[in-house]
This record gives sequence, structure tokens and C-alpha cells, in this order.
Amino acid sequence: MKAPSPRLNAYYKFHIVIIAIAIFLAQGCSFRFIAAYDEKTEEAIFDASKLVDQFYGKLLDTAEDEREYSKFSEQYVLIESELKTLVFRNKVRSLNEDSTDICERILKLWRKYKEKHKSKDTYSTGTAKLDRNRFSRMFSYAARAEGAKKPNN
Amino acid sequence: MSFDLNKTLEDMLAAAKAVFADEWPDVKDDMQRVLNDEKEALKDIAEARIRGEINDEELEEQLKDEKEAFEAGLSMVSASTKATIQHALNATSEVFWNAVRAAI
Repeated sequence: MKAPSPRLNAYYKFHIVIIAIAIFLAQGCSFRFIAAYDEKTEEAIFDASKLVDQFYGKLLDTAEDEREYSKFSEQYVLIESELKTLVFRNKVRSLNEDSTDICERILKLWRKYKEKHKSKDTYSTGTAKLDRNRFSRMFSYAARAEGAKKPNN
Repeated sequence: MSFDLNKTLEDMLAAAKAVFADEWPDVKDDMQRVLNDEKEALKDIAEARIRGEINDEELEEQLKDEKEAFEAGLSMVSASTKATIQHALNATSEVFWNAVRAAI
């Protein structure tokens, strides 16, 4: 078989390079640094944030000497379940370590406060106000981390 | 030994600026927000202790918990930075493919 002429060879090479660049850039379209935006996760963050805020609203509305753990145990379990779902929802998405980390820290603190309330069988107003604000801040970080993934953000 | 919170936060912001270098304009607002949040939170904790709303043991616990909140804030900054890079990459790819489609 006759070898292609040098001119034809250069022609092929040029096209191979163009195709390679196109493939590279095409891959760039799907190359990801971070998980895609998920509307349901964002909604779940707002829902969990609302539940936690309502929990503290109810707690602070109750006289300090009447804040036995048993009065709040049901809400603790419900909210813990919501938070675990939120962590799971984040964890199953690849390239989503930052959002997972934020939600895991929220869950960690929620469990810590639940155990503390259980062992002390009360929750002081000063601590509750600080904890409520902290959760509010952490949920806003979770929402911002998810919202930033929105296209055209 | 005294602790100047404002100076410490300014130093932290300067350190972050040096680390992020070129990406700093994209990161600045989120980083500033996290540091301001932390400043307010530490102020609230100190005031609660001064008013006697929390005791020394609770103060220590509150500071430990603030570390969690602060690190959550840093994760938010990280996510936001990655998202900015992702959007830039997507926009670049879109421009290229629009040009290719127009050429075809």
C-alpha cells in the first residue's frame, strides 16, 4: 500500500488535533468540580431549618423549670430523622463533600444538644438562644452552599 | 494576655486573601460573611456570660460548638468557590459549542 503524501499526512494530523480538542472540550462540558444543583435538597434545608426554629420557639415559650426532656423528646426524634435524611441526600451525590460536611455538623450538634437536654432534663434560656442562632447560621450556610450551585447564580 | 477579636479576624481575612490569591474577589463576600458571623456569635456568647445567662462550663461548650459552626462556614465558602469555577467552565464550553454550531 502506498504511503500518504506528506501534505495529506499534515491534513490528517490537523483534523486529528481538531477532533482531539473538540473531544477534550466536550468532556469539559461534563467535567465537574461540584455536584449539580438539587432543588429538593434546597427545600429540605429550608424545611429542616423551619422545624429546628419552631422547636426552639416552643422551648423558649415554655417556662425554664418546665422544660423536661420528655416534653420535647418526640420533636427531637422527628427533627433528627429529618436531619439524617438531609445528610443522606447530600452524601449520595458525588462531588458534594462540602454540603455533606455542613449537614453532618448540624446533625452532630443536634444530637449533642438532645443528649445534654436528656441528661440535665432542662435547657437554660441563655444556652437555647445561642444554640438557636447557631443552627440558624449553619442552615444558612447549607442553603448558600446549595444555592451557589444553581446555574447563572 | 489580652485577645483582640477584631484584629484576629482582620488577620484571618488577610491570611485567607493571601491563600486564595486570584480567586479572592469570588471568595471575599462569603469569607467576610463567615468571619462577621463568627464575630457576632462570639460577642453574643461573651455577653451571655457577663449577664450570667450561661456559666463557665456552658461557655466552654459554646466555644467548642462555635468551632463546628465556623468550619461549616468554611465548607460553605469552599462550595461557593467550586460553584463559581464550575459556572465559568460551563460558560466557556457553551461559547465554544455555540461557535462550533454556528460554523457547522
